[in-house]
Amino acid sequence: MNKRVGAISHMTTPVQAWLQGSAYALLLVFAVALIILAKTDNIAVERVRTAVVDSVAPLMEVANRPVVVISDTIETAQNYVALKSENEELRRQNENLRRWQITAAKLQGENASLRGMLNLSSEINPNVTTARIVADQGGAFVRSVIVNAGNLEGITKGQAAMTGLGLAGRVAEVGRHSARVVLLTDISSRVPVFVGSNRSRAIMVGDNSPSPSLLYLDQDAIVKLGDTVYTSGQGGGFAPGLPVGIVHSLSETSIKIRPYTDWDDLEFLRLEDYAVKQNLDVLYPGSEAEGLQ
Amino acid sequence: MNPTFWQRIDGLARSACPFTITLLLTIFFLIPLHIPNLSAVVPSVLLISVFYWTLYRPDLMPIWAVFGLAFIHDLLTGILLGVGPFILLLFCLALNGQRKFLARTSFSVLWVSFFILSSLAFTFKWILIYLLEPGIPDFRPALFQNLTTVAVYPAFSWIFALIQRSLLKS
Repeated sequence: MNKRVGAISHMTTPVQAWLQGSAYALLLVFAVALIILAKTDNIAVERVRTAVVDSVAPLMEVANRPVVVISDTIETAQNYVALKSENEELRRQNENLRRWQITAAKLQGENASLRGMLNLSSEINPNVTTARIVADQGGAFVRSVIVNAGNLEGITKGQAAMTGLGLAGRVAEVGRHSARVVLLTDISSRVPVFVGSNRSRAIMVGDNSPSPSLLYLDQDAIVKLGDTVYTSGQGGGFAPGLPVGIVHSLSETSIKIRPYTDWDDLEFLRLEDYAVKQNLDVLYPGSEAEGLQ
Repeated sequence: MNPTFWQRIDGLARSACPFTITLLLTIFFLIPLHIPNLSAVVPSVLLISVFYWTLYRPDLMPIWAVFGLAFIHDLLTGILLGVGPFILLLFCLALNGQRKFLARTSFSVLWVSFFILSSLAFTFKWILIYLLEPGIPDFRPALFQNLTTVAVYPAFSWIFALIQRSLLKS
């Protein structure tokens, strides 16, 4: 046991120092090469990533169980404490929602008859898979989560990840039993959206903060605080009309969006397949389409 | 069986301790804890562990192991691959330059040194992400993650010292 390798811990000879120095240089060059490969969307990087995530996901899932039990217990206890006030709040909300239900039913009928007149094709009903988030604490520089469903559960790249409140992100990589969802707030996230009732086009851009901003807004667009933002479906990345959030701050330089999704309470994601993959295959044939598998 | 064989296995297992513990901690720190706002500012246990073991047992935390750990961390978190290893290698390079001084200094000086090195690492990482990704990343998560990492440093340093005393000194 006492065969400690302690002797090599002290750099005593110039040869060892040189070896250590060249090892640093070699690994730094290797790291730069990795950055270049990742930046050029090399398919090998994605394969290695999904393979590693796939192999670690079961461990994460097991480790997640006690956390789920504890957080569920705390939530139950909190619910008991807040039962009375929550009940009152829900009654009030219910009344409000009943009024909306009547309005929605009226609009639904009107919409259906107008669609009938225009002979529009019916809307696609998505295939939905619900998955649990097994890893989400990526740190300060990335906003993505790992879910416990992969291509064996029918998940494909490009699917919309929804919460009960609205769009949360997009499936970026798919393994056998796991998938990575890049959230709307990630720095690499770009979502074509419509803003407000006059459907001004813009691109919603993440910056790792909880509030993404709007870029490339239509020149004649008028945006007000509280305007709703939903996906436009342009570019084929998302189905049109998915709720995203509201405009919550306006300044000379930026328009910030508050997504409907509650980032602090993400536990499950609904992965919806609107068959937009086929659109992406048409848009990016060849290697990109291969990468979507 | 041959006792020397088991001794060798035991020795190997003990030598692999820093790497294994760091790897497991890195994975467990990715698990959702359902604490508001934690995901962006969760302490970088990888940075603390690499700092500790590079300082006190560099023989058990060689740079290829540092590279491997950062590589796996990058793969699991979904950050642009290569950024983590690049920054962590520079971190170790800076740390090795001061190792002789830091290994003998008091805990408070060590903590301040960790704060300086960790701040530099987070700043360089932010710059790298700014250069490589479109748009300007928010600097606040990086600032707060740095602070939480520095704040939990004494606790993890104590745990690692315990491991070092009980498993690696016998």
